[in-house]
Amino acid sequence: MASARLNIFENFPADNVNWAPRIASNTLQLHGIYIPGSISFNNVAVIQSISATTTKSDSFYFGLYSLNGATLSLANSASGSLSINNASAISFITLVTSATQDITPGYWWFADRGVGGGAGTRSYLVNSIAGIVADGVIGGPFIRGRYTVSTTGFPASIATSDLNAEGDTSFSYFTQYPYILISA
Amino acid sequence: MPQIPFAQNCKLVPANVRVISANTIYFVPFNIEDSISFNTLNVLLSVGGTNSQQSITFNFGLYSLTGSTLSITNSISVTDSVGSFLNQNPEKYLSFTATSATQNITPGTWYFGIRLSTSGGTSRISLYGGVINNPGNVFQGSFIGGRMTVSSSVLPASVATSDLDVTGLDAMFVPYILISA
Repeated sequence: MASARLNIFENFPADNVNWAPRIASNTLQLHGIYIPGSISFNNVAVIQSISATTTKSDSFYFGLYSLNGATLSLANSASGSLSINNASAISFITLVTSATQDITPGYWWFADRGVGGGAGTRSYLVNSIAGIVADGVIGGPFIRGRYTVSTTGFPASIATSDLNAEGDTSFSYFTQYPYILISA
Repeated sequence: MPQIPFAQNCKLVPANVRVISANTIYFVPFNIEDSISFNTLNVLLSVGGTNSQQSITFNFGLYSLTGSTLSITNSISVTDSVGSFLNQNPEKYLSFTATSATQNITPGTWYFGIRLSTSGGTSRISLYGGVINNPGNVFQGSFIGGRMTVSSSVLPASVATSDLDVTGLDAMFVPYILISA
């Protein structure tokens, strides 16, 4: 199929959605996604909900990986933070990308990781399914799951053999991933 | 055409759950964006009801549509034992392998025929997926899914879309399907 140039891309439609806390500190999760056209990796955002009576700050970390054989390689990353003082607020957190990149069409893996600290009751817009724990690993090549190694950053490369596929009960596992919006 | 590693009909697992009736054949659309080796199929199952152990078999058939006739080109199945919440979570990924034929699925709109059979136990078997909110009239465009009006113990080799029920939540439900190379 011919590839178009995209101005916006979201990993799932932001209509039928849910909210979930950020994943555990030092945990990295990835989900495979198909990007049908080229898009400049200029603006990246997530959506946060926070309830705080004093100023609170939270950061979000995003990684973009490509898969070659049995190795995921870090192609780019983005991070951002938001300080807020509001009893109840829903906000975009705009992430700053680490490098200029024109994302090519194809399959990419979006990564997010938990960090310690932060305060206030906060959650992120995620896909609609409730936080379930599913038995039975997704069969086939790696599509979604978590890194088995505790990490404070995005590894430059990850062997798929070091990933637990979604449904692996050795991790008490949920099927929720944050909403990611990329725009040129 | 490039080969893709996986294809799914929803970007991530949706929240809707729908009971699947045993021996009812459902047909659901599935768009393939580029060629993919048909090796593995995954669905997300939800088991409810009593704690009794139950054997289930899901048969998925891959159908092409020519004119108004669906014709089977491949099939894949899995048998599993579910129930007994003391040992299992209610939700479970079912992973199917061993297709009936080697196939490199070409880009386009395909359809999956789905049949469930059960034995023993009384668990309620559901699949996660998406559902259009039950329009009262028939969609006038291309076939977008439906179900057979008579029970069947096998996936049909072919079926006319005119013989399918194309209205109602049962007919319009699309389970989340993830296939991979």
